[in-house]
Amino acid sequence: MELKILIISMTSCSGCISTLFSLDIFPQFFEKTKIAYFPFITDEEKLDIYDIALIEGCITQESQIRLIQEVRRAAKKVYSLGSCAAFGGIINLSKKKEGEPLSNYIEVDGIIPGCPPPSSLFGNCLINLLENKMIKLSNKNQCYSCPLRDGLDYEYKTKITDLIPNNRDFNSTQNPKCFLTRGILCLGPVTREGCENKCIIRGMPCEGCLGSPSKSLYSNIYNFLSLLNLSDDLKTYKGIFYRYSKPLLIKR
Amino acid sequence: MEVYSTLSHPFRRKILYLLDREGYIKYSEIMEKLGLDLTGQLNFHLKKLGSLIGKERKSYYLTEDGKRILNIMNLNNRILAGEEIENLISQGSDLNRIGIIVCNCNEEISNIINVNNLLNELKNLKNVVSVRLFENLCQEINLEKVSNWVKENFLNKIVIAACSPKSHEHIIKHMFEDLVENINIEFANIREQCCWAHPNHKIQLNPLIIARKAYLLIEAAVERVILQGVIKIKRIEVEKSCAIFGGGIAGMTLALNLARAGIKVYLIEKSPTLGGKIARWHRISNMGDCSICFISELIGEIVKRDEIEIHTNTEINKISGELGNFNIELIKKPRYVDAKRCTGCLQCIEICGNETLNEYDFELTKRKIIHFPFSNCYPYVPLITDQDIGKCKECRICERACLNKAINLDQKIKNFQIRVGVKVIAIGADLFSNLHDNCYDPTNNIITSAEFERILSSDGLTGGKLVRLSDNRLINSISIIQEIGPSDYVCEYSDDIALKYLEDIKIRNPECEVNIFYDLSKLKNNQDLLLRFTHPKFIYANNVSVEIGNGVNYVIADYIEFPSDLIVLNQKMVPNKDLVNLRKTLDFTFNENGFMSTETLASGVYGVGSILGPMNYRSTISSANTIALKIISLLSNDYLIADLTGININEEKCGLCGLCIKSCPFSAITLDLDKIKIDRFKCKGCGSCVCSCPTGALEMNIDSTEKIMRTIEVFSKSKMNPKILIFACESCGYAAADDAGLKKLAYPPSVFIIKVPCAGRVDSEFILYSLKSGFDGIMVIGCRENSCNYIDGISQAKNRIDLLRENVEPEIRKRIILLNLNSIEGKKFSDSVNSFHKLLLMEV
Repeated sequence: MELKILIISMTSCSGCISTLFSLDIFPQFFEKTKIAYFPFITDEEKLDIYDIALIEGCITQESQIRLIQEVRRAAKKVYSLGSCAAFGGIINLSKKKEGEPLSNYIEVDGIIPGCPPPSSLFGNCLINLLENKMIKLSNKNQCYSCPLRDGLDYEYKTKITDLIPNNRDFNSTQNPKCFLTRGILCLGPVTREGCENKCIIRGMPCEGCLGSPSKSLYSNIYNFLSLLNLSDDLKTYKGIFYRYSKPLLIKR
Repeated sequence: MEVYSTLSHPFRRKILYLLDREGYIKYSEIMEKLGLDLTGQLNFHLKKLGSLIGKERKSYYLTEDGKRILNIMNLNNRILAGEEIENLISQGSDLNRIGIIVCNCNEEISNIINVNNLLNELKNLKNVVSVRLFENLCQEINLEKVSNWVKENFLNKIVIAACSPKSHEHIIKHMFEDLVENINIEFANIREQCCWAHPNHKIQLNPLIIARKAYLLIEAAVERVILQGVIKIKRIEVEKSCAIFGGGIAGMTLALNLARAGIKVYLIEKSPTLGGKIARWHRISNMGDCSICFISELIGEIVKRDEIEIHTNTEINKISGELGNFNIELIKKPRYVDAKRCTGCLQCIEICGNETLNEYDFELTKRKIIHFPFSNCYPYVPLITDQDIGKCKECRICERACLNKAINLDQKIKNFQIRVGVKVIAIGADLFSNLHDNCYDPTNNIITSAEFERILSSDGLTGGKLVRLSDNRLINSISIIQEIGPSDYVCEYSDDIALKYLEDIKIRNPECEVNIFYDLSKLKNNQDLLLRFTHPKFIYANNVSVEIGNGVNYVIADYIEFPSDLIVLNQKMVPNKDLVNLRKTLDFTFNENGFMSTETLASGVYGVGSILGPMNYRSTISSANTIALKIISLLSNDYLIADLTGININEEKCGLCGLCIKSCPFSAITLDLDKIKIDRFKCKGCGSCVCSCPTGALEMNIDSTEKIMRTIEVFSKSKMNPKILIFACESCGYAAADDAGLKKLAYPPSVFIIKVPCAGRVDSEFILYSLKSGFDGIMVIGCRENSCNYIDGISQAKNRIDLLRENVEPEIRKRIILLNLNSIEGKKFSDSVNSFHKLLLMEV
């Protein structure tokens, strides 16, 4: 039986949906399912009953709350697609708008995190959905598959002063070492594994778009940062918390 | 005959073994332990075992018949167990039949609240089977009542609502010892932190409010005891033996101490003889004996003991295993003389025609190739070193000369293994040898203190006469330069040595002039250590140097020249050069001076003697005695079980980021080949690592995150406002709250206290979650900053909470407080809680 799918966007950059189209398994997915409700490419119709709803983007308006509540009623399973829907998203870095994750308003059956979701993780999630299984995300953190882990000394003594490597550091690809031993803040230890360390391999530290493997991301960040030798301006740099999520109790 | 057929199958033997060891085991656990998948198979074996086992409350046990059979057969544990069964014990249960005891404590509780109502309410809690009121639970007369109650109701988990666990926990746990497992007992502190803490003579409080808090405290304890699952912990059988590496004074003293306590000791020495450095010394300071007499007396005693097995000329190849059960592979180098046949007749040495430098006399004399290291050495068997064996194989004259055919030049390396419970490193220190700056030259009468010992010694370089090495002339002036070596630390006993030399010189030549120099510029910050002891012969100078003259050398101290027939450089002790190689095999770290650090030793590894730093004879002996006591007390156990308060790792979640390694104050966590390894005997259960673990792979056995979160949820049901949640560390904060209760210093009943092992256990998650679930204020109470039980637990908590406070909204910032109290500051506790409450009252 074909699965009836609903795909809908809240406040977002539509990056996650574009990623969906470019997935290598998208043709298969398209064959096996019926994308019945998809305002991104078709005109809006009245909501029917769906097997799976994929919601992209965060909640910034009252009307969106009502809409997702309707979607919740119409769909058997609801999944947050992308970090905006799952955690609140990058919009929170702006000083004017706040984005809330779906789970603040409706019950969500699972999340497909990432900004945008890395293709292998996204693909696996879709396969799970087709087979009517729960989405299974890794319990481990980035360090587990990190290619730079060998060079990590477990002292964490280096003073962390930067968020990104400087030009010279970025261009020197010879024998790269763990960012944390180079004085650059990498959120890899508190971020879920599953993206094949794409940023780290390309010379940028992990920014935590896949969310936290356990506990809440911000309590994990507090626990993590308090163990580091952090420079004073980074201690109060709240962007660390806001990059992909709307944190609890923290004021910009 | 039937018994034999019953015991013929390994599964049945294993079942008997397990039952014998653990008493009662559930059906499913037997399945799991035997690794069986089919119930039919197990049913068959259980049936076959017949009357040897019995069944009660879903658990199997060994009947009297079974016990008798095991006794009669005298079956060795290993035969019964086979090799496959892991030596695990499990505690706890997933089954919940909870009994609640409310202790009235001589009406202390019922004076404040209506206990009968409380009991009725408690009966409705889930999984609660029975609720019982006791007047004084801690009295021994209740033992039988309690035991009957537990058995009648088939209880396996107990909640005690009574006084603080700090006051009677041990008594109560002792009462339940054979009834319920210790970890399945939870406490609700309704006396100190409820009934005593809230009634206030100033404000009339509704007793229902206090009763409500008591109820919530008990409910939280029930929830916690439900969440307590099964803990599996490895039980290690202790091998009652000890390996000591190093046969010097420290190793030998320790060996003797242990042997006297009946512990098997393997004394392993790298060099061909026991004795260590001290054997070369002329005498030990402040002791009349010459040191070789002293050493040979000690060796004599050691040799007499059957418990001590001596392996000289032996090196470590590999060590595996853990505390209680080390497996050590050793290599015995060939001596080329058979110790059993040799009579020590010296024939071989007399006939030997090859000479070489004698390292025992610092290569200042010569010896034959086949030789005794020194007279009175042990074993008293000559040897040939590996460097010389090539020459010997060409000559072989001694082999022919030996009447007992003891010499065998074709002896091979021998590998062997020993199993020990603990290992001790006593390889001592080296003496500073980079003496180029001090014009060291024995042929020109500038010698080291070690060489000077050989001059003074009657079997030494000059037969004990005080003459110069270069021309055998009587020495009339000696300069001793103290503290030669690295300037980071001092050898505190070096003045003792100098005074010993002074005495020995004056005995030999009363006319001899002796000057003893300290170079202050090389002592840096350690000057005051030396200045506590002064002697007219000591010269403290800002600059001490040596100048070589014609026939006579000079020591120049602050521009004054001291002509000296002999200059002695008193060397400092420096870390043994073998330490670096041994570090990996023996699992220890270095302190800032390069000696072995005592704090970070893995469990089951000890260091004695000057491996820990410069030590003289007396401190070496005392360190050996201290360690001996530790080892004796450790090895007196038949088996070791790691503390249940520790942590467990779920490897499926572990991402190897190493944050736990960083946060552990005791270095109990290490990385071992892409796997996090926890030293369960080193872990003290503070929970700092659990807090820092980002993936939730680490979890505490008892104070689990789930339990604390659930407690927060239960407490948040209180309707009083403003609500305050206190995370109090077990040793200080919680005790301070108890103290406030004992002193009846009132604080509002909307204050709830959660006990954590250490302030370092307080996860940011707990704080954020409690704020989210409706608490208005959070207090974390830990020990004073430099008196934390867990070294830096409190400072980790401080870092974490400071960071959290810096980042939350300013209104929230006020609501999070970190306090340092000690256990008797009840007054300060209630004052701070009350003022915090007042502040929140204004906010709400």
